[in-house]
Amino acid sequence: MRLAWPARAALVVLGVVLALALLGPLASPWHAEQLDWQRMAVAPGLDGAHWLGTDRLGRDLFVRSLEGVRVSLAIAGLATLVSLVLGVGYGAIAGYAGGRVDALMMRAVDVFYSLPYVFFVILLTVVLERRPATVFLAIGAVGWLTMARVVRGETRRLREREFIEAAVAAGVPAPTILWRHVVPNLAGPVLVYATLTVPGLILLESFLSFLGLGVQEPAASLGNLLAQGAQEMEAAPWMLLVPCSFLIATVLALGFLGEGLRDALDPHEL
Amino acid sequence: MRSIRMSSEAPLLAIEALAIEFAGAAAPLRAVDGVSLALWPGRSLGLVGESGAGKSQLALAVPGLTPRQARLTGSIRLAGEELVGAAPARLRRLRGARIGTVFQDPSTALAPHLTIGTQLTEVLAAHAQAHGAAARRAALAMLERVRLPDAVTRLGQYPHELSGGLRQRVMLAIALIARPALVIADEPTTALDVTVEAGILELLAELVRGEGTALLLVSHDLAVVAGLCDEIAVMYAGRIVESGPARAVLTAPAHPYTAGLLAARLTLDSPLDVPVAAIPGNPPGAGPRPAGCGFAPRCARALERCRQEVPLLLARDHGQVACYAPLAPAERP
Repeated sequence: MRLAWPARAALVVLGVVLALALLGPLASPWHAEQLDWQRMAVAPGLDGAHWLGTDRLGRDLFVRSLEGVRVSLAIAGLATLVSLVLGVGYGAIAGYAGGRVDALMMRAVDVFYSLPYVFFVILLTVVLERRPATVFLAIGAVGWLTMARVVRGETRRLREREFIEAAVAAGVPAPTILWRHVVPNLAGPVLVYATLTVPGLILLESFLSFLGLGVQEPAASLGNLLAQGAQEMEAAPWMLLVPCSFLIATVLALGFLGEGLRDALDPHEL
Repeated sequence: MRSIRMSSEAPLLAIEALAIEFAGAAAPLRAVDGVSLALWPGRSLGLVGESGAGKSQLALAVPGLTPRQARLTGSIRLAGEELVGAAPARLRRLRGARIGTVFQDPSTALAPHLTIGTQLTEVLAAHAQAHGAAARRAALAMLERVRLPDAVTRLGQYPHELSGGLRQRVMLAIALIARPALVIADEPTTALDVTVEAGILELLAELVRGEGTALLLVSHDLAVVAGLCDEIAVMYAGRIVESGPARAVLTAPAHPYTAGLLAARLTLDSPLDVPVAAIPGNPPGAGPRPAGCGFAPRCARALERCRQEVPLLLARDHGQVACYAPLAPAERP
């Protein structure tokens, strides 16, 4: 497999962002929720104590943004993983079973799709606590639906392949056929779709947190950092620009990587 | 067929009045239209006919591999057990274990992402015949039986690492590893080079004879059937038009269609300036078929009666023929 240069560049950017998110906070004397009473709302500067400035309460924006990247990526990554397991399992069973079972299972997906999403999330946050776990649950509940559709379509295509019929003719039981013959052949489209799901879910998480429905202060996520930055946008633009740059870099890199993987693995549709 | 095997032994496979229908836009399409045949243990039967004659549908109906939208009526019995309408779980247990299937094109019928060894041991595991190291030993022994060179290495290889002929040997190994009583081979050499075809056919013959396995071979190639099968059944438009001992049918055909197929063959000593004796017209397409004998519109010998009534398959000297105007022994090529 050979990736085109934008995808390889994206891989480098993603590597840098990830390394920063995981190791960066160790290099800084500050931690994400620590207040610096002497330096509130300081502009970025390499000579000062805060490389990327501080917010209104004197918290280090470099450390907070990286914390935000970590939380946002973790929520989106976990939700993608859940959507992978649920979506692949559900879609493969529906596609392989076909007929009435398939129709019934996919109509259930349609019903989930048609639920008003934001309303559903508000309901969840009211019923449950506003914690990252709640956001994760809300995102996960929706993330797997599209994956199930993609997988179901691919499975139906695979079922027409002769080697599946040959396995049936050899008396291999259906669960074994699904696990050993169908799922490994879904790897390409599933990997591509999962890579393209992560940035979508990061944006979704940011959107929810921006509205105040997601990760709550003092915990940081890209979404609530943006929300705070937006309030100071005129007087202290760096409070918006710093987390924004991290968000754009991460989402763009994931998008380019997904595109590159798609071209390399599976040139048709999706 | 009964004429050749005057035994009181019950047939392994008995198909009676089998019809396979697909829902059509106007009227249902009959791919197979009232076929009866029997196959005894250790014998081989060749099903021949043009594309669309229904021979593959008939053969694939035995292990229950017809597409799910097809409607089957009639009876298929394997060692006395009815397969039409049998529970899917029961059919699953029979497939592979009692009925082995060899597909046409090994480059698409072998799973590209699994090793040869996995694909062989999977069949044994599916029927709880062997697991783990025992299954691996059985797989190795099977690969040696199909004379795959370097069998130990092959176990760990993927299908794309093998040539077409070797892949078809693997296909045979998969079909036979669970020691089925019946092997169904659907055009097993059509996708192969002529140079490897003979080797595969020879091997198939040897494998089924050695084990007393019955073979149902589907082919459009008369030479393949002549070389491999004891008996032959010629299909046209979903019906059997002539059947009997392969040698007798192929040297002295009674049905005009069989005679036409034989006349259309090319051999090395065919004169180059004489056109091939093709049968005029085309086989009937999918759709409602005319009344009477399916072959009548293309048949030079057709009588008025042929266009009105379907001729029954009746015993006639060496075998059975469904024709109102069969070739007399003197007219046969």
